[in-house]
Amino acid sequence: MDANNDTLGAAAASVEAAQASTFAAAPSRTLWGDAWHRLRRNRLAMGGAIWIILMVVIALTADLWVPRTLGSPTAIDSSTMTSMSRLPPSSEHPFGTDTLGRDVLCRVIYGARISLSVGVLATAISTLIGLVAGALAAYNGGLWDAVIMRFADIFLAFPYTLFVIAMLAVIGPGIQNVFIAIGVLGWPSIARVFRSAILSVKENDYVDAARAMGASDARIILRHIFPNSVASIVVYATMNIGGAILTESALSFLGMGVIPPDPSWGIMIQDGQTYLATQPWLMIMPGIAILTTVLAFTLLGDGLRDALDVKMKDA
Amino acid sequence: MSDPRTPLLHVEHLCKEFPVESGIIASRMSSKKVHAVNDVSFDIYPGETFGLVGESGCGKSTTGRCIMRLIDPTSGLVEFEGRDVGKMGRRELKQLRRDMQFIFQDPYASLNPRMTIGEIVSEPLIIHRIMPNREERLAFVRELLDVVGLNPEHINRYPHEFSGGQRQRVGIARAFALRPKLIICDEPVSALDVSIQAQVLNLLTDLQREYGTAYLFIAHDLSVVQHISDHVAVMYLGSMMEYSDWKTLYDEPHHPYTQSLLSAVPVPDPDIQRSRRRIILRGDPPSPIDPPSGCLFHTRCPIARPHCSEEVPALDRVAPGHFCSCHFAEPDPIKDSSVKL
Amino acid sequence: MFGFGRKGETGDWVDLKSQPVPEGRHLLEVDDLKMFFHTQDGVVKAVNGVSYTLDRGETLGVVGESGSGKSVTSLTIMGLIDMPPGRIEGGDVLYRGRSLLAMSEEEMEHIRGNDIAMIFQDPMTSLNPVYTIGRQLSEGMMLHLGYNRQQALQRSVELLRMVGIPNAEQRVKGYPHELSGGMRQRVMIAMALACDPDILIADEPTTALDVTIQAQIIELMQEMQEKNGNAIIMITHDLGVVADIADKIMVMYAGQPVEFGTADEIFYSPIHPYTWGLTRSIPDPIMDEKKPLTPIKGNPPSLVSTALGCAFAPRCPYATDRCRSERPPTHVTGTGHYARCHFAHDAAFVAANAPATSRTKGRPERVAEAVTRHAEGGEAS
Repeated sequence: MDANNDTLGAAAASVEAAQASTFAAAPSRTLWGDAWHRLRRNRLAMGGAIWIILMVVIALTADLWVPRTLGSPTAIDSSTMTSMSRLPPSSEHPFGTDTLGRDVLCRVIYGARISLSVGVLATAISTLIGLVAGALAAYNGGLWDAVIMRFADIFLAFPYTLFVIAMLAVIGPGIQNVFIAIGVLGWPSIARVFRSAILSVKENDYVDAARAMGASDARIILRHIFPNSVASIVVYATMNIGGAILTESALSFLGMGVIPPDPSWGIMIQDGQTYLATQPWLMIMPGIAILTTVLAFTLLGDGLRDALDVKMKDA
Repeated sequence: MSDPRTPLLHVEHLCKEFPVESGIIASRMSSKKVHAVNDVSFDIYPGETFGLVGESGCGKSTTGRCIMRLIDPTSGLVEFEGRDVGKMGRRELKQLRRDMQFIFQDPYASLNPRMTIGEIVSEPLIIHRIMPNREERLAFVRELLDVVGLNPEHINRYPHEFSGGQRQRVGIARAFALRPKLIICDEPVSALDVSIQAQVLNLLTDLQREYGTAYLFIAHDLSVVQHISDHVAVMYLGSMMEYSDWKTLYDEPHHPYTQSLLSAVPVPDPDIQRSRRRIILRGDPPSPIDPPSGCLFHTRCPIARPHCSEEVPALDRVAPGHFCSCHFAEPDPIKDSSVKL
Repeated sequence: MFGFGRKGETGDWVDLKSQPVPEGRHLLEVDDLKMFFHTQDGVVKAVNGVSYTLDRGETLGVVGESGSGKSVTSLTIMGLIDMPPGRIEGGDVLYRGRSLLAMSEEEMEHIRGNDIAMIFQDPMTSLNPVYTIGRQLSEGMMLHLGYNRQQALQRSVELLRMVGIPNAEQRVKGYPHELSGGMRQRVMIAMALACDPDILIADEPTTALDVTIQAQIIELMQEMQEKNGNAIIMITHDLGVVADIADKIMVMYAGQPVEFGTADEIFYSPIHPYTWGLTRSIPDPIMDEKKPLTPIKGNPPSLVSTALGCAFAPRCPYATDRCRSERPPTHVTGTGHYARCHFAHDAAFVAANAPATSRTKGRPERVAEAVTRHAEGGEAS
């Protein structure tokens, strides 16, 4: 009885307190402004965001300064190859060098290009397919819903990585095919998330209100359902980027992804694993790159989820 | 019903059944149905308020949504200005939704949280391309906000910055933006505090006087319905039990259910509470999945006789403009208040 | 709620319920209680100077709108407010002469459910869906009365029968979802009454229910009170609900009691403009013609406001500059009827502005007439 009452009592009290504070909230801000305001106060999420921005800036500007200071990520100078092979980290080569004498930092930076673009593009492909499929299923319901969602279930029934490997085995390895395979096979979970988001938004009276005033389906989806369910997609997609980066690394590690000499974090780990005991930086440096990038996307996604929740108000 | 005027809205034998099982296959296989609305008929005349009252699950909201075709009725006829709503195509339906608007119960769920109140109120104008000129439209929306008692300066604020009563005013402004002929008000005040309830009721009455709008007023609170309605229908388990003008319904209820509903409404006056006769119904309303045989009310009716469980009573005329669905319809049918089941 | 096998340990605890109320004291005395929430937006004065007394067999109605602090007051008495953000800023609550605010959490656990029990608005969420009804009913009795499972179950059946649940023997083995809302609220009442508490706090117990079920529940609460002699605190926004059941009524606004008196005083000689406003806002169920309602203008107040004057002044049609600048004193009449209003002592002002009641309008005659008409009709049939 007591514990039961306790929770209820506390809930009731916080509701009244919340009501009281609602009336106190004075200044007018937009909802996206509010979300930004909340996000900015979340240190972990902001840390993630800053890390991602830093990675993007470094990767985008790499051509301007990396070749001059660290050399080419792919070219091999056979004259100095043996003397430069697997040097430990130093001021000249902060991350050391690999077996073929290339600078590891330089390869990690160019690897970021591939990893980030795979993450973003593959997620873009699966989000696009997932959004359309999820929207069709949820908005039309009935047969549409049954067919699309069962189709998604079939996709989800296979182990994801194996499915991607199988698809790459058919279409062949290479960076473009990696985009396509990860992107195309990633849609079912996005479709599911979006479908359930739409279904819960659809329950709201304002959707009925829009129908009651004669709004077209397109208008209802674009003006009412989409803006209110997009938050969950933003969150999910953000986290999905991290997942796609991991998948790409795994594929490259297995030799199914990016083809050498293109630098990819997965390939670098694969190359480095032989020397784990003697020259651990070969594996650790790209490993840290993967870890921090995936973590940054996860933290940002987490922060976005809290920030975009309208119900959170200005707590 | 035997009124020489042409009704604005004519509802005849409206029925709505929902499958109990969800899912494509299960819903078709199962014969179990929820009889949400069962053979409901009434007319609404221009500029009048028709009250639909009943307990939760009696089908009053479903009736309102069927009329607007937010959900499709299973059978029955709905005519708006003589046109069959059920047979309307896309274009006609859009026109209908210009003349018929909806006000919702929950002032929190009925406003899109991502739109400003200005956008919310101007949306019907945009959809029906009433005022293509943005400046003109915004001026109109400001005026409308002023009419419903909101500060026009707040046009760019979001719903979460307003209290429940203020949000309901936004909903009312949106409903009136197109100057509709009929507004379906689904429990528009039941989520509001007493003092705010009175504000909103007065606003609805004032707007009706100003624009001549007809209301279908759906609520569970009998005193609120009576206050605002010209005619009132009482529903129970999806069926209409009694129908008359508001005064007759109070003074001379012919149906035992109406009489018990009236006596259960708490009156804020201890003297009256002590002196008036109270009829407290026993038990809960039966499930609409498996409604009782015969008269739907017989399981809780203090004056039920064996006959009541066998034959369904018809909605018969007991006086001009007064209809009642009871085998023993007469003024104040429950004589002995101490009857308990 | 579960575990902490405290059964049998009640020996060292002096059961306050069996103690006599000290001379000159009441069963429950709330004295100038203040409970504020400290939030980011500022200090929310949720309960701001509430005072009343309650004796066994009495019913206190607490009437107010959402955010008026009516629920928080009771939760404070029960010690169910999280602190922080809540903090007691003054005043005291005496139960049988002992301060509840000074008690340890352990002592309060004895009080809750045993001496003071509570029922809530929503019977759908107040019961735990994964336990049988019998188990949830037994819990309190095993904890507070030292019953074993067998005794507790047996008593549960009796309790369910007492609150009018059919097939009580079967129902104790059932789960909450098998019951309707009205039936669940009956279970909640049975649960609250299981340990025969002194005080039953009912927080909007009928708001979520239909009118015909509401009437059943109020009737049940009255019956139980007659049988057990407990006191009831009935929290509601509906003046109609307390008209039936309350002996005393406290009207709350913005965390403060604005008027307190017997039911007769509140309904037939109210002195606070807010009480008048509430009365005028309700559609008159006995009307011959339609008259517009007289609502209270404006919106509910912010509890954070630091306004100097009377909290109701912004919405009060009679407010003067003094009302807006000076906090009104509590005006107490000879009978203990009190109101917080600058004009409460002004009999002429009150007489001129108070709403007409059935007594001033001679309504009882009309009612009596109607009753006779019914009676005659009864004979005729």
